[in-house]
Amino acid sequence: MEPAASKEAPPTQPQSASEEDGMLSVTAAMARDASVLFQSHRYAECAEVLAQLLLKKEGDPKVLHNMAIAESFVDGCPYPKKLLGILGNVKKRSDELACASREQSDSANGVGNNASSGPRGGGIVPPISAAHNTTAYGEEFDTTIITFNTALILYHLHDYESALSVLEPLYRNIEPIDETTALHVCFLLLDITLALQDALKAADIIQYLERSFGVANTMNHNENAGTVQQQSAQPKPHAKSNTPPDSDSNICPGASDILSVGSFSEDTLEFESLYSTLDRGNQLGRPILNEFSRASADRAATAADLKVRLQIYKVRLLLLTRNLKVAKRELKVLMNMARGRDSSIELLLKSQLEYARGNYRKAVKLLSTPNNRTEPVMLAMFYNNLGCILHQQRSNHSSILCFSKALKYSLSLRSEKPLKLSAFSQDKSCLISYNCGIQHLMCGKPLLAARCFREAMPLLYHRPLFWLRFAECSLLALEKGFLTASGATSCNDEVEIHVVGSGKWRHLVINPVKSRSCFSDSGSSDKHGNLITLRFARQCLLNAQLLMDDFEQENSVIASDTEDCNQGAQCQKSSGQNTMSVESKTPSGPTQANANGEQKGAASLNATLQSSLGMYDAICRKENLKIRQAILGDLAFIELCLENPLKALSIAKLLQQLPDCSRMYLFLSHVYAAEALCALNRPKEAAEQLTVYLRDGNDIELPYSVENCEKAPVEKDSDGEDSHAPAVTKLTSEESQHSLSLSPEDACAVVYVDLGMTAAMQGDLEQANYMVNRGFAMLPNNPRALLASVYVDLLQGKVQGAMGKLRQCRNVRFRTTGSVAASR
Amino acid sequence: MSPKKDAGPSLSAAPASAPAPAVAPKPSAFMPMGQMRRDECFDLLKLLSGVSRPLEDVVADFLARVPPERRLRFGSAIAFVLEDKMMFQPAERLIAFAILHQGYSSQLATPFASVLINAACDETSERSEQAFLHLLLSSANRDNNEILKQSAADYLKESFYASQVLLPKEQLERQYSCNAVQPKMHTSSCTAATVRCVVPDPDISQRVSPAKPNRDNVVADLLQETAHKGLSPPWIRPPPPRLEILEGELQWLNLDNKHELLWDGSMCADTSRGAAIRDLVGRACKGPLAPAQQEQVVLDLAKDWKLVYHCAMTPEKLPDLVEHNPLIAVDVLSKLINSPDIDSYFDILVSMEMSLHSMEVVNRLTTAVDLPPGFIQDYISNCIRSCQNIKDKYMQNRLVRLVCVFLQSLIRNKIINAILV
Repeated sequence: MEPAASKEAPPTQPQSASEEDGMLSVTAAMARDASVLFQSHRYAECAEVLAQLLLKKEGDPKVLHNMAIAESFVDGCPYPKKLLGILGNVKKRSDELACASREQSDSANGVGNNASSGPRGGGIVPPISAAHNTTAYGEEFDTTIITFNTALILYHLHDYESALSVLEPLYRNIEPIDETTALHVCFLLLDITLALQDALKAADIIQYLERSFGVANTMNHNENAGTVQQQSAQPKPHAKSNTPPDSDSNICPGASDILSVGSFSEDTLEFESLYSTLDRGNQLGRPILNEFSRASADRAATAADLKVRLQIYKVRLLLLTRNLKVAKRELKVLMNMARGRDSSIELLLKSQLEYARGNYRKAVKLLSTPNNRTEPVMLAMFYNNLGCILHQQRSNHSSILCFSKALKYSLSLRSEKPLKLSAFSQDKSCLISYNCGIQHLMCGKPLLAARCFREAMPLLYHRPLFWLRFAECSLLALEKGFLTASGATSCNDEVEIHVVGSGKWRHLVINPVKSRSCFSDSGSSDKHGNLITLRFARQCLLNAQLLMDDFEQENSVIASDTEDCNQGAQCQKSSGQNTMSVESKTPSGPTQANANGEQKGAASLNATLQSSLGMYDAICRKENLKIRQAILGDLAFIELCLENPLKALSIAKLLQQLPDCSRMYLFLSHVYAAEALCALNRPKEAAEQLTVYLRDGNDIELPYSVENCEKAPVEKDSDGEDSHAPAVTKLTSEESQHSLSLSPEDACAVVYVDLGMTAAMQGDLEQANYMVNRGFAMLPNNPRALLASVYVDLLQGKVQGAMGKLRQCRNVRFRTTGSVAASR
Repeated sequence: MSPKKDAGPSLSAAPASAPAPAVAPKPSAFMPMGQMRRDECFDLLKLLSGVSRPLEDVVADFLARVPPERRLRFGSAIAFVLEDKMMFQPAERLIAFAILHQGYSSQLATPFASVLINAACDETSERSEQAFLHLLLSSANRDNNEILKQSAADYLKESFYASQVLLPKEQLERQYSCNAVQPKMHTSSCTAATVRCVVPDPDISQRVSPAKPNRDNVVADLLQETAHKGLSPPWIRPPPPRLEILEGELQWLNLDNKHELLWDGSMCADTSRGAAIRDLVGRACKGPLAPAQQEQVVLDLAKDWKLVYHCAMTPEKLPDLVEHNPLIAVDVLSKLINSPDIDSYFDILVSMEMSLHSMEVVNRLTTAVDLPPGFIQDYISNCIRSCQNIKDKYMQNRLVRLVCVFLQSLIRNKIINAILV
């Protein structure tokens, strides 16, 4: 008999070795040889043995699998997709074989329901639970390892979503999987979920690991240390009683106990004896092990290692959920644990913590503590993280420099020989490109930003925010005048007046406002690779919208689930049916124990995790609202620019219906809707959109206050270390100039002018004149406000007045046709 | 995933001239892009000044010289200049109207119908002009139009237009839309609300009658203007703000954990794993096991608790196992506690027929594992119900006492709170 634990480790089972050896067939012996060779890193020899083995067991999926694995170690893994294909085929073959053998045994066993006497070698009758499918056919057709390796390759290829979908079924049914593999599954899944920023799943896995591998208690020392000690045994009584050899003494009394009681038959039973039986049942305590390992002298991960690894994940999760206080505490625990080890991971985490807390100098210091700074992986990481810190300190240019350096080192990983599988996952150039793109966007360089985002696409395409940023490049280009669209405001708008004719025939042609373009627009599409156009931006925003919809749907399901569960737990309803919904996500745990009201052991950690999840959820909600608002606002704006008033109108209405929409976006939605309605020949309704801001006759209230439009100061759990040296030191005028956000007063003026236009369209010239001139007075330098005022003057035939305004304004350019002709 | 390519604001470049800088794509589908060239303007002016030629000829000339795709451009330029009555002389205006009316595909009505109708009803215009337009518009058969055989100058001289009845606008429109295939052109209020964007320089006080060279230049310039439209109401469209960089949006990099490909150790392995225990558990569901066998099961499970998943246990078999071998049932259940199926095991346990053995199992479980909330309560009510339903007085008595002992044990072990029950 071979326990599952030997899956990775060479089968060095102690039990009656001689007898076992005798039974080992030739193939089994070869398999063992191959395994030993593999474990000792002699991959080439291992592959040879496997080749011979394959001759004996032609087409055996596991041999094929191991062969592919061994070969990938021989000379690197330059084509992971190919390996993925091989694994896919192997899995298919294994499933086919399992299916065939099941059918065979079914027919052999008739109904096939008496499991006791199933034929060996895969003839094991499947249990009714479908969840057991993967393991139930017995070892021969167990595809756990194949599945894991498939997910692993996908992980290395940064395809986290696919990796998750492959690996999750294993996790959902992780109990039957042997512990070593289960640990690998959990850790890989943790990395995947953290990469996907799925805090909920990550927390679930951490809790599962703590429960099942008995490492929960270490961290409770800080808080309520008194109670924890005796409680720590409580939460995992169910934990496997996989006894280390010496604990047999522990279990054997229990066993003999059981036996003595078990022989009772109902006939001979007296109440007293029942009584005593029941009583004794109480003492049937299970030995609790804080070591997950059993007979694991050669196992790499010791219990202490496991604890450290888990703690690292915990800190990363806490950082993700931005529970910085607890993260700090847990990091301290981690530092204590890791004493005397290579602590680069811990230092990096600490630097991240300080970065998140806004202690940038400290973060830089920690980042620069000499760790292995010759490898490109480390260098890429160092420069990238430094770039992040510099961004926070608003040193935009040095930040870009850092990101570029990081990019260079990261890309150099690809050319390493031999190309290891891990090199693929270590190449983080997509993420670094994204950082770089953001930085360019902040510096007002839409073309460079768009190019960076294009590089980041393979990894970030599933994030709505990414698409929003991509679209913002085009909007920025519009703002800077690299792109033009009718009606869109840019920073160098002007009114151009053509002077035609001469002498007595001199006429003036007043043109609509347009951007004084910085360079010729012709050929822009090839130059920017189509990344900077309004149509592309619209597509990006539609992508973002779709992703948001998906995301919110998913979220609402989860939210209602948890609510149900909470209620269920409070009502103390029967049999855990209510907790099923949670259990489907926390597949294997008696979390319901906590619902009993009593605070048990690890609950304190679970509570912190739960509360950070709650906090994180709230943060995400807030951010998603911001993103959603921005998407709709941008989209309505772009539809107006592309002259699709109908679409613009419906989007603006969506924005208005958004619950908790900020007042600033509400204002924009009204203005956009009004413009769309005007274009649709419905000036009356347009006016209604704007009159919501009308107070006391003809006065307009501020549509929003400064707090609404400026970004709220970030609450940080800062030591105050850096607070006396505020980060604004390098707030360049360049940057502030780019945030072309509208002040409330300007917004007010916009309402005046636009309301005036709706009045003009309805023929109410007097009202139009009044409104427009009030608006113009507030925005004397806005060419559009000027033109609106001129327009109303012309409507009223006041040419002289119009010309006077035009002559006074600095955003007006007079050009004679001669010069026009010359410029062509 | 990647959005479609975008055509971009490509300008259909005018022949031989580079497109104007930053010409925004205008909405109107009719308006071909590209400006009129200077020489085109003068050509057109020359055509228009042919006041003594028959109108037919001028129109034919226009059609011959201007390629079809440029005609709309020309037409809108002409219409634009016509708006200012001082620009053309009366005869020239007539020619211009004739071109607008005749210069387009004979199958379709002219796109400038509304311009013509408006001019025909413009009370401020010369009577001769209004009459001319009426004649043009009301001529059912456009090819056979007497009026076009004349020259513009002749028409003005003859002055028979005085007798022409001027119809109100509605009637003209109706009439015209009967004639023409195309219904009245839709104009949005934005375009309707345009104001003429060409104004005479107000600093020049007095205007003199049209004099040739000067005027030609102005007209040519005007014809060349990019947008032959009025000034539509300027609207302020504030751009949406850029979303601030969210916290944690910048990607901080961490060291990766080492994940390596795993070796499948079960290759060619003995597949009999768990066969013995499977056999024993199977037997345990059918009848009590001998003590040695029980011990075997317990020890095997103790050695490798994951075997519990390989011993073909199912919730359906649980009642049998409980009845025959309660202690093995306890052992199996406590090892299955993390199984995804554990809920169905508990469901079956709580609803199975009450007996000494099931009570024993439940009692042991209470101290061995964390039971789901409500489980104990449900089980107790099940017990009480069983006691109530029993007919045999003796059996009932016995059962009640059993339940009491059970409860006592629960209370003593603080599994249930006495007050709560």
